[in-house]
Amino acid sequence: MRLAEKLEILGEAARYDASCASSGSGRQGKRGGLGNAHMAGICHTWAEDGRCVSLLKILLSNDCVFDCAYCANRRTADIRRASFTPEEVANLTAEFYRRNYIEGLFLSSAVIGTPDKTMELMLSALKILRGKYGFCGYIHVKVIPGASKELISQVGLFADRVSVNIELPSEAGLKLLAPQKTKERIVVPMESIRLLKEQNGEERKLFKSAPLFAPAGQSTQMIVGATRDSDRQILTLSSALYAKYSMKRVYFSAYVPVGNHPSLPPPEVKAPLRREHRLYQADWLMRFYSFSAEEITENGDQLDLDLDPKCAWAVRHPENFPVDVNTADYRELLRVPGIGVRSARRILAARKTKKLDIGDLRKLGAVTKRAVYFTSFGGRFYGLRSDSRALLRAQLSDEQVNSLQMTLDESVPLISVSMAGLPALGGGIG
Amino acid sequence: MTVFEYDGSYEGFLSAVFEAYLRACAGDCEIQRTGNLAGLALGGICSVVSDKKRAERVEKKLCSLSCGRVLYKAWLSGEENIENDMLACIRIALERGSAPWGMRTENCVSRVCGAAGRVGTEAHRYLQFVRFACVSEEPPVYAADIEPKYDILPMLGNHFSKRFSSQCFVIRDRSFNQTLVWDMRSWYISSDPELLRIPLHGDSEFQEMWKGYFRAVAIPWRRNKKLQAQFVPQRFRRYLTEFG
Repeated sequence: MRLAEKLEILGEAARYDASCASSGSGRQGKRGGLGNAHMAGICHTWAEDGRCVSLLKILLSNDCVFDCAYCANRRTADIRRASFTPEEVANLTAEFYRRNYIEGLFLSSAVIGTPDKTMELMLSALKILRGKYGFCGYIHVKVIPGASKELISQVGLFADRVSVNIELPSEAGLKLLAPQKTKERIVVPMESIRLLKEQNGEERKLFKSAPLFAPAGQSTQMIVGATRDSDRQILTLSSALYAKYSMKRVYFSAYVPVGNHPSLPPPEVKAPLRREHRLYQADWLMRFYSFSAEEITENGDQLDLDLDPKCAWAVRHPENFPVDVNTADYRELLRVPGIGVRSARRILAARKTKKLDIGDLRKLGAVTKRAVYFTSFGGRFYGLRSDSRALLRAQLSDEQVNSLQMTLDESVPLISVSMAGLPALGGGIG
Repeated sequence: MTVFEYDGSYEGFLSAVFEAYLRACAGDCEIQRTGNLAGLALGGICSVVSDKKRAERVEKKLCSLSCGRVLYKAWLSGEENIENDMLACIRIALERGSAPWGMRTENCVSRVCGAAGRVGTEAHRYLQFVRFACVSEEPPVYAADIEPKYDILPMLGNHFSKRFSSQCFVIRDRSFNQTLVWDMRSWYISSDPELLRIPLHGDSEFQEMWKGYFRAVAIPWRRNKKLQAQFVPQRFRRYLTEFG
């Protein structure tokens, strides 16, 4: 098979892995070598689905012995099969990198024979790339569930980020759709990675020259919408993953119908893109805005699809607002819809020299059309004079629908928020 | 009011700042590039000669106030009147003894930060979007064309030379007709018109593979060209292999 053909098959097979980050590693290039890592990561292009392409995301092989119902590469699926040799992977990565197409390699694989055999093949690709090609760019490697700890510890020495996919948000889901994977087989490697990274940190405190183990940490991914798991379950699980395994990221991937398994949603069900988007927003709130999973989901099992989780929380908690921009502390500012990490910091800096008013807020980069309902300026309030939550919701969600239109597929039906429908919506939250 | 004219180089601008302070008229003067006729009406034009030593002194002072980087980026924007906003920022910085960037509610600060931000974004776009073609395998030489909105070529040198230490490359700026050259020892910017004339061709093997890969990774169910256009505006696509 031609290399170009393999690349298309194995690129297509890898596209359902949501992770594309190339951040978190400051690996420095060597003289005479190739590449270096950029701490903040660099995206190099965006595909037609609007997702970024930062790494050469490929499978080593899509010839799988597993038969997970949600997966496009399952054993019983009728697709073209292909496998790269380790040398081909290394060569492609180096050549694409030289042309500045990519920031590095994302290598995953179907299970060829046994998990250990697969990991060994992946490891040899990394060794060629880092050794023969002197490659110092970014490498993200998927750990195959069930691979031995020794192999994981070796892979981590070559990769910048390692990840194990948790796949489904609950054990029951796994049993139903991926009987060959168990919670054990997924959680054990995560724990190994956390431990190895911790040990590596200790070693490096003593010896500066100790080799780095996965400097960009570990991440994971779960499929949303293949099982009946609720947003609350998903977010609670994510927050536990962040805390327990020091995850750098938890990715969500809206389930795209690929199989006809009786326990899966039927093929005519649209991928829950809006839900995925809301989960990512909630994830951001947990990581950067010190929200907890409980606070975000206190109102029910599912996230509000009309309103982003931060606005939704603010509407539910009128007792916390309006926040006075001139006196509030950083944490209070962060809770205001329309004020983000950057604008909150700017507010703190700017109010040292001047009393702020609504016009200043705009100059500082806050989204005033949302913040206006939740802020006051030395007693002046420019928001709604009414206590009606329904009216407030309408003001916020109307905008949301507009901005979402930009980010979502046109084919996803947008829930229209008309003035007539409002009392019902508002009644729902009261 | 005095109007200082400088030769259009950053060194010239810094020399003009020096001159303004030397004459103790920094609070009541304007700085502009030569050839800008707006100043004629005001009378009292003073041409400033670029002076390396003076420029270095000003630069050092600005760096000690942590303003050097933002001011340089704002200057690269080449926006109208940006010099006067920069001078206003320098005055605030000297009065306060620290960078004024926290005072974004001041118009001059807001404009300078805005301009610096736009230049920074444009430069970052080219860390993403420069596409090299291999023009010679032995010795390895790579070439790329870009057409930036701002003069961001000097901001690419460190990044790409660190990254590609073992291959020579040129990045040709089609908007400002200059070329960034890395000869595996150091990088410099050349305005040699010969470099701009060499045609780019060949290297189709990897270009075709990249295009095929780029098509394959898009998930058809999630097609969203609007979102794609937000991240890859049309003006960049002409030079992007995968959109060619």
